[in-house]
Amino acid sequence: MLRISATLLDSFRLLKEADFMTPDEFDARIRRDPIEPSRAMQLGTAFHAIAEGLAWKGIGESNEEVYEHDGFLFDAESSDEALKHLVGGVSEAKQEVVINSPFGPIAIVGKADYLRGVTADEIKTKDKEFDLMNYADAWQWRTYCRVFGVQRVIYHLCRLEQDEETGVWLVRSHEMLPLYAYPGVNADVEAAALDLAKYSADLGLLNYLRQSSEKKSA
Amino acid sequence: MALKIVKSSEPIKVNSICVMVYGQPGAGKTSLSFTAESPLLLDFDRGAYRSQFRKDSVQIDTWKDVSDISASDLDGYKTVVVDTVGRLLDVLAVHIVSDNPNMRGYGGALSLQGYGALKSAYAGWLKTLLSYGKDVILIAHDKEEKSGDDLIVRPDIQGGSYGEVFKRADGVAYLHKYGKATVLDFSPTDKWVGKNAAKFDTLTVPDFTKDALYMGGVIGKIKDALNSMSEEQVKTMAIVEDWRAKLTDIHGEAADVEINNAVKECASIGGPALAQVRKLITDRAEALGLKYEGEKGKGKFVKQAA
Repeated sequence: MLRISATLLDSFRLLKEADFMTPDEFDARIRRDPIEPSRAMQLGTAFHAIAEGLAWKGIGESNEEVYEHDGFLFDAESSDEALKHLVGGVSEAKQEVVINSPFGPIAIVGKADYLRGVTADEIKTKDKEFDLMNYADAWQWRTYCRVFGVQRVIYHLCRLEQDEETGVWLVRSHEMLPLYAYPGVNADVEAAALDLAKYSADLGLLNYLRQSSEKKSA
Repeated sequence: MALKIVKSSEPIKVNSICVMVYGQPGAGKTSLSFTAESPLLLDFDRGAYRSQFRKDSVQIDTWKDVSDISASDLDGYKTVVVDTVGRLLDVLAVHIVSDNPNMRGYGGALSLQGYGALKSAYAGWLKTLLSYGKDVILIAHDKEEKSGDDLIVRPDIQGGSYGEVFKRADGVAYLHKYGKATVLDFSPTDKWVGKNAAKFDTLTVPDFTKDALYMGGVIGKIKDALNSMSEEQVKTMAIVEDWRAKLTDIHGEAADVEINNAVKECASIGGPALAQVRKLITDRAEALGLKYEGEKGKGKFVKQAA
């Protein structure tokens, strides 16, 4: 069984849009070469821990409530405000659907930050302005529609800013970008997965998709 | 006045929405908008005269012409048409810079702070119109952008504010010619952007002399879809919460049996609730110290040896 994730589909999109990823970088993603997490990635992971209920909450040095995870401190008030819609439902839900292809069955895999009702929520963090259309163009939300059967995916775009004195990160702005399942979304996702499988086959990389699947079920 | 409290278990009804229609000049965007319910067109582009289906309009020169628009100004109208939203943002940008020259960046464009002010003023103005119970149609010209080796058609809206307009629209449709027909497509494709909450197939735009309220019908269907989605949201969340309560009650000696029964039972759940219930079962099993053994989907939860 081949395994293709929403993340890999988006890396493939960035490759095709030329400027954003080189073929070597993309091939490394298929091979699952280890990636050293950047500071921005670590910050994002720590912020996600708040939504998952994994962050410690207490009083910081400046007497304000803060969350702490992996050494990062977040202002509790602005974090709670940004994440207030994420009630009920579950965090870190994972599901896959299997489609047939000339290369054998392909499992298309989605892992959403949050699922509640017919909505999937995805939290993104940056310390600068977001390009919203990068998310609207993404395969990630389309894949969630296909895999989870959700009718709507909401991106929560949290711009973080660090207080220089206390080191605490504040949510400076929180924007919600809702996107909706459309009639052809399932076919589009499946076609993208087939396109990626074909690319991998042409370059002799198909086994990496297969191996990662076997590792998973071992 | 008594507060109208909407319980968390009740869906929130959508009464007014914002839809963006973009397309080539001459595609019929303004005429299409005049088939909305009781429209008033804010004519930023000064092109309303070209529509053979013209209804009431206001010629807009400066942001002050519309900034203080009141509910009573819009009495008798159900839909506000902005023609075009790109030009609205230009007019708003001029206002922001004239009010505060510090908002001007290099080359006369808005500074980063100016763009922030533009987004905020636009969002506030749109919210005001929606709060009056008016539907809003935003008209935009189209433009082609390069995306890798391909071209993609997008609304022609200045840089940083495009995302803001897209984000706040409940529907985004590309109006274009397809053979001899004119079609309205809300679905995003690899050739154009869209937002399609109502799951419309490609719509063939009719002759407006035969269907003078066409766009009103389209807007009504988007509202119905959003309201139906809100009901589905509540129903699905209730299913998941029932399972959460049921799983919390599982403990003791027979916990592994009950968890494995839950796995079988949940297989009949359809739609997005399934992944949520499976996650709840996995989390509960983990909390009970159970471990999944066997191939995914074919194994079972077992007690871990002490």
